[in-house]
Parts: sequence; structure tokens; C-alpha cells
Amino acid sequence: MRATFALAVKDWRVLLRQPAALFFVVGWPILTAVLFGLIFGGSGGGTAKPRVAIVDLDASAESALFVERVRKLDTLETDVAEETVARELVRTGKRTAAVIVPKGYGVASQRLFYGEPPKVKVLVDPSRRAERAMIGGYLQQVGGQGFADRMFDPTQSQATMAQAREDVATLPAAQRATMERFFDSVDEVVGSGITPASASGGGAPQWTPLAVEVEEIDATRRGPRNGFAVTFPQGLLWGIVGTLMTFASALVLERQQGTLARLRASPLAARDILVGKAIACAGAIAAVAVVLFTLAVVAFGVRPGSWSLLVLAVAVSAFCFTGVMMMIASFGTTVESVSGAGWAIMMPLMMFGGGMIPLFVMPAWMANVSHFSPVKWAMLAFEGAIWRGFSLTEMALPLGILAAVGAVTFALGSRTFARNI
Amino acid sequence: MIRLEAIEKRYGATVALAGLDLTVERGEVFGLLGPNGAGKSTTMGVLTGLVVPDRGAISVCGGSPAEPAIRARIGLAPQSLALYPLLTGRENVEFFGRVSGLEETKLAERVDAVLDFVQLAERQHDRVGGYSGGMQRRLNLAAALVHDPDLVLLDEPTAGVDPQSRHAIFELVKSLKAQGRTVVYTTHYMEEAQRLCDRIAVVDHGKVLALGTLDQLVVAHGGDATLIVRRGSEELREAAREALARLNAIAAEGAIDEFRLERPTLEQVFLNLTGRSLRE
Repeated sequence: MRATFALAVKDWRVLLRQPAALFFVVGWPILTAVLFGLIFGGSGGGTAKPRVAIVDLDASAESALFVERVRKLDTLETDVAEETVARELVRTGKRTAAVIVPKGYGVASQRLFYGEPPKVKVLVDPSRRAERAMIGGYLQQVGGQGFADRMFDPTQSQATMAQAREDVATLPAAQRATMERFFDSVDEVVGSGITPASASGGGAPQWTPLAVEVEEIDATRRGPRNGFAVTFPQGLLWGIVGTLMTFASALVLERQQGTLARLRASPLAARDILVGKAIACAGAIAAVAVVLFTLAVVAFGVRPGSWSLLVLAVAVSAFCFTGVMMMIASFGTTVESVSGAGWAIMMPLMMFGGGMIPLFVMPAWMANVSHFSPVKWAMLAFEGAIWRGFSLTEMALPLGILAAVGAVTFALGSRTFARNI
Repeated sequence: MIRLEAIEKRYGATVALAGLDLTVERGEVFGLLGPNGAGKSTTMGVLTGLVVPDRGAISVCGGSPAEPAIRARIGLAPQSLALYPLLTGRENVEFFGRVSGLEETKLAERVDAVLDFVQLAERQHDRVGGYSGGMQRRLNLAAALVHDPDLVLLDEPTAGVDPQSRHAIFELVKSLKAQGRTVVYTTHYMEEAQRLCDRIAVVDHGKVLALGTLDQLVVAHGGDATLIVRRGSEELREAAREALARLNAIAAEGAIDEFRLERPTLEQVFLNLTGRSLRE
């Protein structure tokens, strides 16, 4: 086994010393993933605009104003929906979150510093922590805007203060006197024309202008979080193709330059040599996957739904395409013939397998053809783990097909290749 | 050390080996001499287990080269430069040491020793792609020796190298013999076989045509020595069966400026055995 690993380490070392091959194995996949991610609507900052459905159950002037202000935020992509529809949209992943403005919002908005503040409810998948915090912040911003209006717009302020004085009328005399003094001060500030901007800086302890309540909804299916969630798996497939073509050519080159004969003359069995090659190829694919997905997560906001399923998808895909590599290496006796045959095979598989056009936007006929490409099943496995929310059972089909393709191609390829060593 | 009996190998209609027999004793430098396509490399393939013969019996280092333990005792320097140009000289030798089963504890020591032996210690950290042809040939040899084999197979080890590197390789082969290793050396250069080999097998069309020491081959197959006499601008050459009597007869006909007796060469042996030159 030590000798077999020595073979793999040697191959990795040789690969790392070929800048052109490295470009096709790592550089090109990153380029395509980033470029197409930007074209498909991914954002370089790592987050696309969260899509939010808004439900107005209060139907008051205040709630309407709140909804209007939320919709005007250019940091959110919003639409208005019925509550049941909004819940379904979140559950199916078609919206990042839903904001429900409940009954009583308008009445609560009239109160100042007393009683329950106005409340809204955010429905969101628990895995979307970042968006939850982000949306909560935007809602507070809008709530604060409403509060400022009530405080500093003289017409609104008058009514608000009258309501506030009415609200504290039942308090014990000492507390009521304190509140009255405060309200007098507010009236004085409003009357003096100080703007909210110049008045800011003080905190309002124990009371917020808007209470944001969160209800978690498990999203069973959802679309890609952003364009990069689609293009990085595609990029990985380009990396896999680059890797397998490099290793298929390297295997034939070993035969051409005589090193394979030398290896065969060593105590290693033909099987050991082919296993060493397979370890090298599969390991390189895994390394490319690590590089790409690390970059996708760190810099492009891709959040795999299941890391364990993603690792499984990468492992099985690496096995599958190592088999394909072995098969392609057996198609010729020179680097040129193997390279030509390899690209002739891999390009259509990529084209129809989702390596160029995302699976979910393929026309029906193309989607049917894609079933015959292992690239499609690898793509589906990656997407299943990243954003389709596949369970292990749902992953079984693509992973099973990949494993079967890998086993058959590896057996046929290694048999043919070993015969010609 | 090696026993091959009636080895036959065909590739389709082409007969590569047609009942080849030979025996190589421990510690000798054995030459396989023949033109390109004579079956030398196929014989090397049989000895390393790379070629499975259709018929015949093989014994190498007391067993079959199909066994990994036997192959671990063989060091092959193939005719093609079987090296990785993107790796350094040291990395190449280390790699072949590892795949040959050399223990990690002994690896560094052996790599140092063989790099020193082939005089590449100073260039060991350079990539092989930057080596000259002669240096690559020497590294090819180092890779064959790193695991300290009993039997060293050198397949055309001087192909494409300059005279200086060829001389260096000759010296290395002599050192291997001095170390007591068994060396099988294939070549189509008769002067190499004459200079290095204890015994030589003349091979053509997949068969051993003659086998023996240089003297034995010359005596048995070289024919008569040639008497060369020069008188003025005239040069007379003739087979010298009765060299002294003929020389006296020629001298009686007139004064001789110069004469010499030429011993038959391996080239002559080959010509007599096959009817063609080694380089045809």
C-alpha cells in the first residue's frame, strides 16, 4: 500500500508542477463559476437580495404605511401575498422569508413608551440565520422611521402625545408625574424643530419602536440561495473533467515514456499501479472540490444545506469520474489520441449533463437526454446537498447511478489498459 | 542466475522469440548482441515478467519473474528513458526506490549512494527535464540500482549519448561487475560487447545464434585472421590460414613496407552467422 500511495503522491507532485494543467483543473473552474455566477445573479459580496413576501393582516393606515416602506427598501426584493401563500413560499424555499403584519399593528403604533409596541412576525427557515438577522435589522429600520414620524411630525406627534398621556393616566401618581414631565419635554423638543437626525444618540431603554417576532419554518425545498450555488457545482464539474483528462493523458504518457514498463517490472502488480492512479485522480478531484467549495462558502455566500451529503456526493463523483478516466485512458496508445477521444466524449456529456446549462432551466428534450450523462447525476447530487434539500433517500438515485457508472467504467477501462501495458 | 529454455513469443504473425535459450551465471556481465528487432528487448521483457512467453521455461534469480519477490531482486534500466522530467533526479530515484519496496529507513541512504555512484549528487535537486542525455542515462541506471538488486538489466544503456557519457557508463558497468552483480547488457554496438561482456550471445530473429566468450565466438565463427601487407601504395589483404608461410612468399616477391595481422571482430562473427551486418 505504501508503494501505491507513493504512486499517487508522485502524480500529485507532477500535476502541481504543470501550470497549464493546474489552470484547467482549478483555475478554469473557478473562473467559470464566478463569471457565470455573476451572470446568473449571484452577488460578489456573498449575498443576493433576500426575497421576502409581505402579509398585511391589520389592513390599517399604519400597517399600509409600514408595508409600503418595507417595499421601498432596495435591500430586499418584496411582494405582497396572502398568509397561507406566504408560508408555502417560505416552506418551498421560493422566498427567503415572509413578514406578517398582524392585527393590532395600527393600534399599537399609536402607543408611545407604554404597553406593547407594534409587532411584526418574520417567517424564516432556521438555517438562514444571516438573512434572518439582516431582515430583522431592515424591519427595525422601517419601524424606527414610523416612530420618528410619530415623534417629530407635529401633526402626528400631537395625536401620539395625546394618546400617550391618556395611556399613562392610570399609573400611580409619582410614575404618572415622571411620564408627564417626559411628555412635556418631548412636546418642547418637537416644538423647537429639532430633527430626528440631530436628536439621535440617546438610547430608549426597555422599549423598542417595533417588536420583531420570528417563527421558524423548515424549508423542505428551495431554490438556489444565489447564482453561485449553481455555478460552483458546475465549476467543480469542469474541474473534474480537467482532472480526469489530465490523469488519463498522464497514464498514457507513462506508457509512452516507458515509466509504466519500469513500474510493471517493479514488485508492484498491475492492479496496484491502477489503484495508485485511481487514488491520485480521485484525490485530486476531492482537492479541487475542497478548493472550490471553500471559496464558494467563504467568498460567494454559498451555504450547503448538508455538508455530510456534499462530502458523500464529492466522494462518489470522484469514484465515478476516476472510472471514466480509466476508460478514456484505454481508448488510445498516445496522449494525442486519448486527449482527442476524451474531449469528444466529455464535451457532450457536459453539455447535456448540466455542466453548461443549469439542469433546472433545460428544455424538456434536453432534460430527457441528460439522464444518460453521469455529469447530470453528479450535478444533481451536488445541488441536492447544496440547495435542493435532498434527504439521503433522495440522494440514493444519483449516487447509485454514479457508483454504478464508476464501477463499470473502472473495471472495463483498467482491464483494457492493463492488457496493453 | 538466469535460465531461459526454448522461449517462444509471437505478436500476431511476427515472431519475436523463436526458441531462445540462454543461461547467465551469477556475477558475470552478459551481452545480448544483435541488430534492432533481433529480440533483445523482448528477451528483457521476458526476464522482468513484462512479456509472458507463449512457450518455454524461465528461471530468474531462482524463480519466476511473475513473482513480486523475484522482481524485487531485478533492476531494469529500460532503453527508453523511463524517468519523470518534472521531478528532480532525487525525487525520481526515491520514487522508484519506494515502488521497489525499499524500506523508508534505508531509502535516503541508498538514494545518496546511487546518486553518488552515477555522479549526479550535485545535480540531484534539479529537474530531470534539464539534464543532458548522458545525465538522464546515468539517472536511468541509478533508478535501476536504488533497491540494491542482484540482477541488473541494461537495455541499450548508451543509446543516444555522447562519447564522454558512454565512457562513464562503461565505467559504471565495470563497477557493477566489481561489486559482484550480475549484469545483462543489450547492445547493437559490438565494441561495447567486446569491451564489457564476459560472455556474449549473438541474437537475431529471436534466436541465439552463438554464445560464448569473445575469443570463443571469434574462434568458432569469426573465420580466419586477415593478413594485410603494404608495399608502396599497394595493399594486399587475404585470409591468413598459414600467415607466416604466406608472408614469406609475399616477401620473396619483393620488399614489404608494412604488414599486420587482423583478428576477426564480432562484426565478422555476426556477418558470418547471419549474412548481414549488425547495422543493416
